[in-house]
Amino acid sequence: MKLRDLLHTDCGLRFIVDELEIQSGVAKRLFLDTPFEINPTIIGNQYATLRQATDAIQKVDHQSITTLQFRLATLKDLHTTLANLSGGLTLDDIELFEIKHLAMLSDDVRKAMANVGMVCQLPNAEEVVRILDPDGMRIASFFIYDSYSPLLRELRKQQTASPDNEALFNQLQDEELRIREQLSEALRPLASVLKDCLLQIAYTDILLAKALQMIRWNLCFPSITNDGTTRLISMWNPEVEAILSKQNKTYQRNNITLTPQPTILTGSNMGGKTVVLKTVALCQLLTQFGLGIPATEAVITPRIKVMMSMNDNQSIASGLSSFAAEMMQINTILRTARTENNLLILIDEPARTTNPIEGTALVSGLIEVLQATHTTCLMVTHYTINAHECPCLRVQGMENGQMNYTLLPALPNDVPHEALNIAEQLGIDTEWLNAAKHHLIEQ
Amino acid sequence: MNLIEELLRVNSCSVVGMEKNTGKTVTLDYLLSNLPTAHRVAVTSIGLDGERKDQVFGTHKPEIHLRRGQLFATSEKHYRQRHLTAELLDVSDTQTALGRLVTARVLTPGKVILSGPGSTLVMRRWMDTVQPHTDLILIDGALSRMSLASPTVSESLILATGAAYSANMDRLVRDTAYKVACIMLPKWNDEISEEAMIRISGALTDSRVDQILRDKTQTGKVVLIPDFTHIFVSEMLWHRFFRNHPVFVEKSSRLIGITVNPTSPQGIRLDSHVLCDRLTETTGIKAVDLLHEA
Repeated sequence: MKLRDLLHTDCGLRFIVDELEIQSGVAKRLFLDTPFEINPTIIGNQYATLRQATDAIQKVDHQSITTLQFRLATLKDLHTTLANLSGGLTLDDIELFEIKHLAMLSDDVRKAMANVGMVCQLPNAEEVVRILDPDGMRIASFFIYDSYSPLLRELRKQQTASPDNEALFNQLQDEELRIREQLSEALRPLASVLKDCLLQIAYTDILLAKALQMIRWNLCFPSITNDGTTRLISMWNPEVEAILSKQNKTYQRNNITLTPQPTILTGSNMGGKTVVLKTVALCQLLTQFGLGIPATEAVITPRIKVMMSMNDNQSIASGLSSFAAEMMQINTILRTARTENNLLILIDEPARTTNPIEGTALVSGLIEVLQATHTTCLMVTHYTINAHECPCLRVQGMENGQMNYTLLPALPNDVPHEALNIAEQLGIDTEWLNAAKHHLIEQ
Repeated sequence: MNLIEELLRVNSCSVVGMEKNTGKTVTLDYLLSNLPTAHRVAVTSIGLDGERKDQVFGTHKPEIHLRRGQLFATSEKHYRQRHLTAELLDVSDTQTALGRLVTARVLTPGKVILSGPGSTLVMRRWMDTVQPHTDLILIDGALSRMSLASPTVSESLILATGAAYSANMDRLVRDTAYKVACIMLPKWNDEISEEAMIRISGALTDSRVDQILRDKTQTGKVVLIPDFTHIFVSEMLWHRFFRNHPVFVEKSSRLIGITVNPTSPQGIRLDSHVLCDRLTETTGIKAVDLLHEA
């Protein structure tokens, strides 16, 4: 699994990726190929590098960072050129220009990184510059310089005098080609160094973008554990926060702890339960792609997979009803949970589209079988479930006409009855609601 | 006043043709080889123009001759086919139809096919990067791509016209004069009040003109358009419209001259002298046949 494959996950990951200020197209493509990392040691090392970069750039002025970004932005994708070089082809002027540009750029980036205080792993490409800058001008332009051959110098002198002499022009072309072959041969052993330069500059670009996002949004570094826990303190979803701030609203952050067993989340409608579910998924993915976590504190167990069942199962194309599609999806999750013990499962209101009696039975049964697998799972439901063994949370709910999104420990059968109140707040037809209230009293 | 002297007074100039084969490339070649050597020139073209073979008629089209020190921008493909030695200065990420845009400086004189940026935005960006290093930017404008001759892109222009547009001299002179009249529309001054003015931000089309003419409340009002490239009105309607509504532009263009190619690719040859005289007389701008003059 790569970042590219999980970008569509409906949890706000794309928003965070889009907000990263990665400068060059090469780095952007490379970033989308980031693997979904499950090895805790590698994840730990990635965060150690990110922490070093974040600490470093916090100490320097804005100008040094802008200079580095400006350099990083000029990186061009040279994969084809470098493949041509290692493949034994003779490079043309444009390709030689690109290589010279890359070699000089890596020198500039190294200097700019030193100014910023970032650890630099760029290889030395001075030998390449020496080959392509015979006059030592240190200018990033290129042509087959006169100093490469006395014959070339002589031919050019003659050509300037008689520009329309075809024979002379052809002779000149032959000599230029000979020099290009010579240069390509000299550069060929350096192809791997150049490739390394290209990758390291792109990685630096990604690292800087991540570090700047950490500072800009005040994100945190997660502590990596392997006991199946997920603990998020004051977590928030940056995408939802951005939407709210456009409406001049503030995001109420909350805390959550999950252990290797099902956790039930109940609460009134519009209480932000689905956002909690998605934000937990987001923080998990961000950890395994090495990005900052939107929380003040985070403890995260790397997982083999994040499996979600959200309210978007209905599809005309699949020919299944919303109930059938959901059942199939949860079935897949359950089967995976039996074979893999390190999953994060997030299920939003299972069996909500069928009658409440059977629905309740299905959800209770699901919790029972999931409990046997010891899988970390967060499940949102409106049903009153009899499952006293597993932890349960509820959204605090309406207080003085305002929603309080805080998550509190609760009993599994402590399902709030606020649907009618909330419907009233939404300005729903009074006749309908009065009739509904009448029915409630009758029950 | 001759073309070269006029060119020395501007920072940028587009050469645009009334039609293909009206001698745009000849004009450009003339300018590039007759400007003073000390004058730093950068040249590029719009899109695919400057092909060795004309795309429509298959007739021979000369490549552009460049002198030492001149800057040029062309596509990767045509850079590889160049017939000169040049120092490569930049390879942009911007893709043209024939690969990336390459900017280089001529070291030994020779010929090159120009195929530059395809959009106003990319052209503007390229011009901004070379501007500090040049005295004059020349643009080989392309057929039916008048928007790139807009004063928002280049400060001045040269109009190439000729028998390829029409073998009927009356029609050729009349249509060229209409184009010149559009290019030379006066710049709006603040003295006209907003109430007495119709401001048009998009295109001025036949239907829009018709609508204004039929609306009695608009009679006599002045019309303001961004620049001449926004005019898409047929000539007949334009004259009737212009009599009733003076038209002004927000950004005016500077027409430096008219160049004439009296021959057409089909082999028709008009009398160069008569044509130039009639054009000069009708438009008030000096028209020259550069090949004839040479």
